Amino acid sequence: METSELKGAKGIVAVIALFIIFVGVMTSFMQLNGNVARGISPEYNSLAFRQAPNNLASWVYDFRGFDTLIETGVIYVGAVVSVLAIGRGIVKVNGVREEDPVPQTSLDFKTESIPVILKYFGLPAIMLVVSYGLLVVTGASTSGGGGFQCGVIVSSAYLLGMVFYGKKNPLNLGKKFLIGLGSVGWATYALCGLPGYLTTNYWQYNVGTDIWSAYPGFPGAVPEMLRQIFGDPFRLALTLQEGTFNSTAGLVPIINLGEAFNVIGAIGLIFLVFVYGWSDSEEGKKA
Amino acid sequence: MSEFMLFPVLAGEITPIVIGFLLGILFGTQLAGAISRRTVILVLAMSVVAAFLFEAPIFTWSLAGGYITEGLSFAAPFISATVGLLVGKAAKGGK
Repeated sequence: METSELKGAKGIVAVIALFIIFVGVMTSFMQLNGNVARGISPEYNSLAFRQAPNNLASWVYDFRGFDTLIETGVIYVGAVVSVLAIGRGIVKVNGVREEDPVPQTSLDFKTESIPVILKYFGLPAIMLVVSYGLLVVTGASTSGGGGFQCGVIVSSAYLLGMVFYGKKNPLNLGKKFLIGLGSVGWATYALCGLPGYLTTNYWQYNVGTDIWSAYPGFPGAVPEMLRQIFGDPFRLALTLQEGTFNSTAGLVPIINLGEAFNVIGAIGLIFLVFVYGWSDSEEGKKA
Repeated sequence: MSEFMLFPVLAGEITPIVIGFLLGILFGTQLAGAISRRTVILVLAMSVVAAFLFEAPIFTWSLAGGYITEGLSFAAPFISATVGLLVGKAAKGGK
C-alpha cells in the first residue's frame, strides 16, 4: 500500500488504530512486572515426570480435549464446500456421469515432458515424504510431531504426485480410501474418550497415564488392566536429573493416529476435488 | 541409561516402529505404477540416510530402538515405514 493512499479519512483511521494498539501494548508491558498468571501450569509441571517426554502434547490433550478434532472438522467443511463448488458431484449428479467434471489440461503433465530429475526422483521423493509423515506421527509423544503435522505432510506427498505425474499419480489415494481413512480417524479420536468416561466420568481422560487419580477427591478409578492396555505400549524410560521414570503418553499417540487419518482424509479430499474433480460414478478411483 | 543395550527396556521404543511399519503397509497398498529394483534400493538407502539425520526418538536407549551410542542413532520408525511402503506395494501386486 502506498502512503499516499492513507490521506484523508483512511489516514485518520489508521493513525487512531495504531495509537490504540501502541497504548494497549505499552500498558500491558508496564503492568507485567512479574505478575504473570501461571494458571494451571505449576500443577502440570509438578506432574511432568509421570507423563510422556513430549509433555506439551500430553497437556494439550488433557486440557483441550476435542479441540483438535473440531479443528479438523473445519477442514472437512472446506472439503464439502470444495466438492460443492468445484467437484459438481453433489450439485449435478446426473451430469457428472456424462461429462468430465474438471478439464484436465493444465495439470495433466506427460512424464516425457518433465525434467529427468523429476521423472526418476519423483516417486522416491513421494515415498520418502510419506515415510517422514509416518515418522512424525509415531514421534507424537516423544518429539514435536503429531497427527496434524503427519496429515499435512502425507497430503503434501499426494499433491507432489499430482504435480509431477498428473492423472498417473503413483500415490493413488482414491475417494473411497480417503473417506474411509477420515471416518476411521474421527471414530478413533472420538472413541478414545470412552474408557475415561466409563471409569472416571471424565470423557477423554487419559486412562493409560492416569495421573490425576493420585489427587484426593478424583472421581472413579482406572483399573490396572486399562492402564496396562493403553499405557504400556508407549512406556519409555525418562532419564532426568531427578532420576529415571517409566512414563507413558497413554492415549496421546493413539489420538494422534486418529488425528493424522482425519487430516489426510480431509486435505486429501480437497486436493482430489480441486485437481481431479468429484464423480459419483466411480468408486475409489480418481474421477 | 547411556550404556549399550540390544533390546529395549520398555515397549515404547518398539511400538512406534511397529506402527510405522503397519501404516507403511496401509499406504503402500495405495501405490500405483511400477517400481523398479533400482528405485527400491534408492529409497531404502535414502531412508537410512534420513533416519540417521533424524536420529532416534528421545529417551530411546536400545539398538532395537535405533540408538547405537551418543550422537549416533537412527530413526527406526522412518526405516520401518519405508519398508512397510515397499511391503504394501508388493502385497498389492503389480510390477
